[in-house]
Amino acid sequence: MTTTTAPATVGTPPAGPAAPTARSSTGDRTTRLLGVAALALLAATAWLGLVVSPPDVTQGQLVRLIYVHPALATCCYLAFGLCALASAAWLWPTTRARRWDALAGAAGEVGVVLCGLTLATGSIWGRGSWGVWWTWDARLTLTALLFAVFVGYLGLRRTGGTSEARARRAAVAALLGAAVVPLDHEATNWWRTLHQGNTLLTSSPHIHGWQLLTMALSFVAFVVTGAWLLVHRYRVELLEDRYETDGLRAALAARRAEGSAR
Amino acid sequence: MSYVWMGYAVTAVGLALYAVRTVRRGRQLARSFPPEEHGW
Repeated sequence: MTTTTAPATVGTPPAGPAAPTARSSTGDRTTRLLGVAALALLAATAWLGLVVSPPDVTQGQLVRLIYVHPALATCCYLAFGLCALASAAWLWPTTRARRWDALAGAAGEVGVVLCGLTLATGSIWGRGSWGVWWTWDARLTLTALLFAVFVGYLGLRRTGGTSEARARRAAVAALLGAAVVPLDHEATNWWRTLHQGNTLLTSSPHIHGWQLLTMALSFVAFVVTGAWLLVHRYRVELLEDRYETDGLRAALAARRAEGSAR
Repeated sequence: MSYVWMGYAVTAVGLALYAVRTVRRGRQLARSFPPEEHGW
């Protein structure tokens, strides 16, 4: 440990050996490769989706949103699932470690961003397809509920108390919140909804050719992008935790020094 | 087609803003510690 000064505000570099360096970041060679791959895959998806793939017989040009919206939704499910798994690992006594809580927090936040974009793109699709920005359909309502639950989860992570109490509260909330994921996914099968059912996960997929290829590529592109975001956010979470710990330790040392000087 | 462009634009801007925010935040925090202590 080389930092000795408690940072007054997050992001202010402490004095001494821990001086700022131009190379400091949450990235490394692997994340740079992942980032380049994500950008290339997203660009290829956009090009195939907007230029190469043909319009649909029934949906017309709006089908091009299918190369964005379902992939975003799937990635948000994956992120919330990972958040729940990491939370379970933190709650389990034999696997409890700070890194699981950090991973859960990072996955929860990335999931909220992806869920927000899922709702936004779905709303745009609904306006073009159904003529309304929003309707209280089972799938839409459950996705909105999922978004609200995990926004609450992120809020819970910022509440007071010891870091352990905070992590426990958040982990329980993540497990409860993740229970909405299968409900949301199966909503189109269990209830009569306006939202269309599964496009790919059926015995006979509803799309073929360029449309199928573009949609498959979009899933890969958004998974790689989500992974890149997750790695960076996870490292930010670890750094924030360390910053908080170092700041608290330095504040306690300063208080003790103040007490002994009297 | 305008709804299609809107959907792609919202996604691109949303992801880009979040990515920039996360990377900048990480850079700010990482500069508080020597690189050899980052663990990656």
